[in-house]
Amino acid sequence: MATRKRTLLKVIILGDSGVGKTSLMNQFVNKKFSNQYKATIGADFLTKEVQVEDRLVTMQIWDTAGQERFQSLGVAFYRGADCCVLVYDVNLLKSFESLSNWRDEFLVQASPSDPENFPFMVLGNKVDIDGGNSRVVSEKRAKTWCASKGDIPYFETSAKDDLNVDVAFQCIAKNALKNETDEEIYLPDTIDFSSGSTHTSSSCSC
Amino acid sequence: MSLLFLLNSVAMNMSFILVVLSTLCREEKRLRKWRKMIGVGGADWKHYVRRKPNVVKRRIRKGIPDCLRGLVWQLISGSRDLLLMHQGVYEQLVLYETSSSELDIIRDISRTFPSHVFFQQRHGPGQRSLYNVLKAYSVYDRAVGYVQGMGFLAGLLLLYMSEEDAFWLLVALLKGAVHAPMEGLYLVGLPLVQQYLYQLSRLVKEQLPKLGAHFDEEMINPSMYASQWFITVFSYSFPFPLALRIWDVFLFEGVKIVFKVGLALLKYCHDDLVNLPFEKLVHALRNFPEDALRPDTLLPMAFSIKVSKRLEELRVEYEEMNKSAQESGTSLKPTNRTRGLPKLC
Repeated sequence: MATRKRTLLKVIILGDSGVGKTSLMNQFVNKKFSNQYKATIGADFLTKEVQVEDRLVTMQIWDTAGQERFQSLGVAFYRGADCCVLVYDVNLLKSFESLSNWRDEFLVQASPSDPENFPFMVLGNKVDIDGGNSRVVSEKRAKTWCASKGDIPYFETSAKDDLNVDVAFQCIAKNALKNETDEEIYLPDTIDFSSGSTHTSSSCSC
Repeated sequence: MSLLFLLNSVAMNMSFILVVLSTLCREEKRLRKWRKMIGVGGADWKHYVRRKPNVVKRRIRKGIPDCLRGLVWQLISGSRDLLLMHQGVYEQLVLYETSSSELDIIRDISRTFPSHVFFQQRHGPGQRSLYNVLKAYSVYDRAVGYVQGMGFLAGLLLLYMSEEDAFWLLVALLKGAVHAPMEGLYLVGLPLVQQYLYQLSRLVKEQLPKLGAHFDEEMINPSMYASQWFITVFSYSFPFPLALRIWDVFLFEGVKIVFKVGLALLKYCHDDLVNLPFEKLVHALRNFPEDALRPDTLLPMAFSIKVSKRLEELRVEYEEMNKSAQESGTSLKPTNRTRGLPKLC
């Protein structure tokens, strides 16, 4: 049996300021939520090992500053990314409307070899707020947008209540890995992409 | 036996008391020196600085006494003069003007020093002052407006002075009352951040070649660890006792102390850093060990590192590089500038 090299996946989290990028990353990596995160300046970085099928994968997660002006520092982080996670706040329309810009900006700066098939993921965060009564972007609207951008997988999350965070990041790892193996024309005989997500409020193409 | 023990413990207590007393005396003497240097309300300060600049520099490097810090910061930054020249302006900015950055500022208020007692209370005096200072600045300088990171500067200042004083100190720093203006750290494209990161990466290679080569191998870019050093002048994630001592020197000597402290940190941790692979390296560069962050260890090391001359040369080099890149039309965007860095280093 061939020994597998440790696989590295570089994941970038983008989205407007205050939508919960830092909280999502920390919930996924450290299983913690805090009301006391500082606004991210520049970028932050955490890693986590995950098991995808039979492979051990190290996820290198870059959490970026959301303010537009910091985009000029972004290029160092965008380059070589295997997956880009776009986050918005379901209670803030503007953060949803910005998704297109974030996606375009990423594609311009990272210039991946196959932009059409580059793995993105959209997370609608803060679904816990006010029991869902203050949300302004419906799940349907978000999914329609994702479908129009080449079937981007979509999850509704709450970093605070740890809702769907793990599932979403697992899916991110799978998709990024799928992209990698496609590129290398490697037959993924050990990776099963047929199993669907069991979460009703989420969709994942993996 | 018991008498001996008693005498012994009395002697120990006495020596402890003596140590405390001598420390108190030294502190009292230090304060007296500082008070004399400043004069009533800062009246003698300028005169003293002109007459004995090196004494002032040396004393500031040892740390400004905490009870005088707010006043001295205003004197050395030139903000006191700005305030006196523009009476009533701050009030006007806070009360009568509106800013397009108001929502952005509000969103970040509770995310600025969230665990500090002064800023913890929602809508409390700390948060209100922070909001006012940032809003006033965003109106005063609409080209800069509000940029994340400025809150940490304003927040640190507010721990030592009134809102209006903090506002004018922010103006003095960004507009360059005494030293080079800092506004380029926050303008569109963050041009000064890009320049500082370039200078830092070069200095690392020159002064710590082994570490510089290791950074290259591991593809570590200074924007991965140092942008917040510059954008917030070490106030974002460094312990307050260290940040305050850095600020003492920063306000008097200018931004070169940020480079010196940065290089000193890398030098102090050098032998660990050169052995770490990428992920651990990034983590280590964002979480320095406690012993590296002790002011009395780190600062003397920082002071011994010489950077002034080289910084200036590298600034000229950076500008020329940018100019020629712009002429050839390849580097108008700061993103391209960063892209070009590794090749040119």
